[in-house]
Amino acid sequence: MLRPDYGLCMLSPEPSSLISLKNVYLTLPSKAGPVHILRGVDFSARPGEAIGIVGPSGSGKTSLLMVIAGLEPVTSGDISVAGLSLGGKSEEALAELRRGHVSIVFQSFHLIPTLTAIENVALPLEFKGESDAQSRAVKCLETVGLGHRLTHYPGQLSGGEQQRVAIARAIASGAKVILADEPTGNLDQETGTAIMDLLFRLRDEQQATLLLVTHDPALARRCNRIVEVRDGQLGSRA
Amino acid sequence: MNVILWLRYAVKTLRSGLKGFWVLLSCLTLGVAAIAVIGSLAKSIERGLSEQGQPLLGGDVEFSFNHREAAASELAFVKQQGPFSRIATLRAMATSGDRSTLVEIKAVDEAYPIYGAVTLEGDTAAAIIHANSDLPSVTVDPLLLGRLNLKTGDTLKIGTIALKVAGVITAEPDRISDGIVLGPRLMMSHATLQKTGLIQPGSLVTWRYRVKMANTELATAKAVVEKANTDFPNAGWRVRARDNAASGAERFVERLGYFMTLVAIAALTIGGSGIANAVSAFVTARQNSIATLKCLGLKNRDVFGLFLTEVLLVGSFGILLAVALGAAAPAIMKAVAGNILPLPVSTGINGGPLAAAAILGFLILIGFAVLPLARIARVRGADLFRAQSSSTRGRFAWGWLATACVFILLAAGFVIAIDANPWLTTQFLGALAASFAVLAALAWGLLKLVAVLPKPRNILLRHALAEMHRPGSSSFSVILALGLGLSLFVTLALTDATISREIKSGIPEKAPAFFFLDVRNEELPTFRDAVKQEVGVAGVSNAPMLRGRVVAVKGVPAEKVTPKPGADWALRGDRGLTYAATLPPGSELVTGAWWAADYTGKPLVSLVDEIADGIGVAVGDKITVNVLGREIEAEVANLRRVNWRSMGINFVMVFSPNTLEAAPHAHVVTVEMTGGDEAGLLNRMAIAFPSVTAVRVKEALEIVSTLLGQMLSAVRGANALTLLTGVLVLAGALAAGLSNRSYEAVVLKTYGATRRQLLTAFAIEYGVLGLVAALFGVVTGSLGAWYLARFILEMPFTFSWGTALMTALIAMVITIGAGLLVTVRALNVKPSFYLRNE
Repeated sequence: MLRPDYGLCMLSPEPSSLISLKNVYLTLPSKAGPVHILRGVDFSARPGEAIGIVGPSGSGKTSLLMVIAGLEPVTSGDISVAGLSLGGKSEEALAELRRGHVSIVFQSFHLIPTLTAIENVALPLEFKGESDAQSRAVKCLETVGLGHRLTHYPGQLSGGEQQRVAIARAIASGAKVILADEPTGNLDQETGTAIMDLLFRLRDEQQATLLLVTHDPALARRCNRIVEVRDGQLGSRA
Repeated sequence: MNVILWLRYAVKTLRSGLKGFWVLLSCLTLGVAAIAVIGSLAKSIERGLSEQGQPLLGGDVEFSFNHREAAASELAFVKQQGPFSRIATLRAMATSGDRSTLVEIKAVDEAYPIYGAVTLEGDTAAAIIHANSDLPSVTVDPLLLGRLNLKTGDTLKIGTIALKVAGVITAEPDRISDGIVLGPRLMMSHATLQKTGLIQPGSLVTWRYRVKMANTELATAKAVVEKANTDFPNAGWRVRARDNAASGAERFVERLGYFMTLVAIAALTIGGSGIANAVSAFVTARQNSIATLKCLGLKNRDVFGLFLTEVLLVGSFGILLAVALGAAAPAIMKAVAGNILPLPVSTGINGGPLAAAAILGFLILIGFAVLPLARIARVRGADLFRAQSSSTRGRFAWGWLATACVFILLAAGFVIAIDANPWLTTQFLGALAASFAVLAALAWGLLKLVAVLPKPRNILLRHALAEMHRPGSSSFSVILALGLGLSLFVTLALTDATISREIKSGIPEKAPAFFFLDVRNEELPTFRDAVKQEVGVAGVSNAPMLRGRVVAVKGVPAEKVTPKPGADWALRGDRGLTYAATLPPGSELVTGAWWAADYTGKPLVSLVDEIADGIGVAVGDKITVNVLGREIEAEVANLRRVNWRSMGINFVMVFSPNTLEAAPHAHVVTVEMTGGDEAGLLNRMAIAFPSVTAVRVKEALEIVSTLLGQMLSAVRGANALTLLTGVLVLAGALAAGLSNRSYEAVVLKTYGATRRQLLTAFAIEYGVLGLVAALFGVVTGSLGAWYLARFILEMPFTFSWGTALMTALIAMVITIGAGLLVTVRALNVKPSFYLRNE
C-alpha cells in the first residue's frame, strides 16, 4: 500500500534516461524462504535530475540503490546505467562501470581509515588511471571546504568533515550518477543541512543525476521529484 | 596490473602502524630467524674451519700413517712438497704418586707448528720441550695438572721415564684435527717419546707429516693429495688437504644444524597457521574498506593486490629483521662465546643460508596468506548498505586453495632441495603434513560433534560448549596451533628421555669397566694375571687389535663407494681390526660359515651384517684393507649380528687368524668388575704396566653423554621456539576473538551473569581445547619419538608417563592461562563501550 499523499503513478523508462529499470525483481534466499525485495520495479532518471527516494524501513530503498550501482545482481528484469546494460556483466565489468559513471555517498561515510583525506579522494582516480589524480583530489577537497584538512586521517575529522570528504570523493571522478544513502543520517541537523546544501550545489555544477534515499520529507522535497518505495514497489510524487 | 599503485597505497596504509599484524610478524620473524640463525652459524663454522684450515690441520697437506713411520720413498714424496713437520700422536697413561690418568700424547719436532702457534701460560716458549735439561720436559693441558694434582715444575711418569712439567698449554692450533680426545693433551719431543718406551711394534701410534707448501692454493694442495694416492696406491696412508682439517667436527655441526633446521621449519609451519589466522583477522577488520573500494569501482584483483602487497610488505619487514639477525648471529656468537667455543667461527655474512631462509619465509607467507586473502573476493560492496555482513556468501575459492598448495609444496620442495638429507627431510615434512591434516580433521570433527551433541543441563557447560563451535570461534586454530607445538615438544621430550635412559642403563651388568689398549704380546699373560688378582674383577677378555682402513670394496676404491647412511663410517678413516679362530662372544652368525680353527687358506673376513648391507657386500665378495702399509684382499666368509650394547670386545671386521697374526700387533683387554676399587685398579695397573693405555668405560660414556647433552640442549632450544610459536599462534587466535568475547560478556553481564560464572564457563571451554590438543600432542609426539628411536637412533623406545602428563599439564595451563587472560580483558570492558555504540 502506498501513502495516499504521494499519489500513485508507475514510471516508464524514457529514451533519454540516464538510469533505466524495467520490470526489475530482486529476491533473496533465506532460511525462512525467499524474500522478495523488489517486485517488478520500472524506473528511470534523466540526466541532471535529483530524485528523492522515501519509504519505510525494509521497503527496498537501499536495495534499489544497490541494484543500480551493480552491487546486487537482480533476479530478473533489465537495468541500464549511462546507456550500458548491467545484465550479464561480470563483477569486474560492473566495477569498471561504477568507476566511470557511478558515485556513492553513504550514511556512515565509509572512508578508508588508514588513508588521509586526499588519499581517500585520489585513490579511485588513480586506479582509473587519471594522471592528475592528486591535483583533482586537492581541488575537490577545496571545493567542499577542506583544503586545510588534506593530510588528516578520517579519525582526525568530525562527522561532517568526513562526509564532506566522501562527497569530494563522489564528485572527483566526474560521475554522472550520484547515489546517496541517507547521507545526513549520522549527522546533527545543522551539519546535515550544510552537507545537503553542498551536495545539491555540486550536483547542479556537475549536472549529475542524484538519487537520494532519505527519511526526511523536507530533504526529499528539495529534489526534482520523489519516489516512494513500499513493499518492493515504486510510486512517485512530482 | 597496477603493481606500483598497490605498493604505493599499501605503504600509505602501513604508515598508521602494524596494528593487527603482530602475530603475523612474530610468527614469521621467529620461524625465519631460527632458520637464518641456524643456517648462518653452521655456515660460519664451516667457513671458519675452511679459512682456518692451515693452522687447524697444521699444514697445507697432511700424510698420516698408523703404526708406522713413512717409508723412504714416501718420505721423499713428502719432502718434494716442501718443508714439513713430523708428529706422533698416541694415548698413554700418565702417573704421579698414586694417581694416574689417560693422556693424549703429541710428540713434535722443532718445525712444529708450521702454521699457527702453541701458546703457554706465562712467557714460557713452546720450544721448551726440545731444550736439554736434567729431566725431559713436557707441556700439558691444565686439566692434567688437576687430575694428577701437579703444578709447573713437578714431575710425572709416562711409560718408563719421569718427565718434568715445564709449561701449561693454553692454545694448540691443530687440536681439532686430531679427532676424538679422551684425555688431556701432553706434548713432548720425539726424543722424549723414544725414551718412554711406548713405541713398540703394533703400538697404536699415528705418525703425521704436515707440509707447508710454497703454493698455498687449495687446488695445489688437493692436486698433491690426488698425486699421492695415485703414485702410492698401496701406501695405506691417509692424505688430506687443509679443507678437510676437521671433517668430524664439520659433520657434527652439519648434522646438528640439520636437525635444528628441521625443528625450525616445523616452527615456521606452525607459525603458518598463525599467519593464516592473522591475515584472516586482517581481512575481517578491513571488510568495510574492502567493500568501500569495491563501491569505488576497484576490481577484485586490485583490491586483492592492494591487500596482498600490504601483507607482503609487513612480511618483508619481518623477514628482513630475521635475516639481519641471522647475519649478525656469527659475530654475536663470537663476541659472546668466542673464547669457549671449540670451533672457529667466521664472522662474514653468509648469503646462501640467509637467502634460503628469506625465500622459505616468503613461500610460507604467501602459501598461508593467499587463502584468507581470497575472502576479499567474497566481500561485496553491497555489504556497506547492510548492518549485517553477508560476506560468507559465494563459492569456495578452490583456485586459491590450489595456489596456496602450490606455494606450500614449493616451500617443501625448496627445503628438500637444499637439505643435506633429502629422504629424511621428505619423511619429516610428510609427517608434519600428516600431523597437520590429522589434527585439522580431528579439530573439525570435534567441533562438529560438540555442535550435534545433546545440550547439557548445566548452563555453564552448555555455554562453554556452545562457544567452541559458534561462528567465528577460534577453537579450530587453538587446537591446531597447540596440538602441533605439543607434538614436537613431546617428540623431543620423549627422545630426550629415551637417550637419557639409554645412557643411564646403557652399561649392561656384565659390561667391562676398562678397556686396556696396547697390551704387548709378551706381557699379555702377566697382565691378565695381575688384573685377575685385583679385588672385584669378575672377568677378563682379550683380543688382538690392529688398525687398518678399507681401501676397496669388490674391487671398487672405497672413496667411490656410496654407502647407505649409517654404514658410511666403516669406510671412513682407520678402523680397529682383529682376528679370531672362533666366533667372538656377543656375536651371532647370520649368513655363511665360520672358518676352521686351524684354517690356513686365502684370507677370509667376517663382517657385521648391517655394515655389509650398508656397503653392498655379501658372502663371497672381496674387500681390501690396508694394514701397516700392506694391502690385504679378503673374501667375506660370513656375516655376524653383533650386540654392540653388550660393550664387549667386538670388531666390524674379524679376519681369519692366518691373515693377520704375523703382523706386529698388540692386544685389547677388557676387565669386568663387580664392586672393587676402579680408581685404585687403574692406578696400580698404570704403574705396573706403564706402556699400557687404560680407557675407563664410565669416563668414556660421560664424554659421550656430555656430547649428547649438548646436542639435546641445542635441539631443546629450537624446540622451545616451536612451543613459543604455538603459544603465539594461540594468543593471536584468542586475541582475534577478543572483540566478540567482550561483546558477549557485556550482554551476558547485562542480563545477570556473574563474573565468576563467566570465568568458569570460559575455563571449561579452554580446558577442553587444551585437553584435546594435549591428547593429540602425546599420541603424535609418542609416535614421532618411537620412529626416531627405532629408525634413526636405533635405541629401545622409552615411553615416559611423566612426560605425557607434564605435556598435558603444560597444554592445559597454557590454554586456560592464555584464554582466561583474554577473557579477563573481555570482562573488564565497560558495558557502556558497546551498549552506547549500539
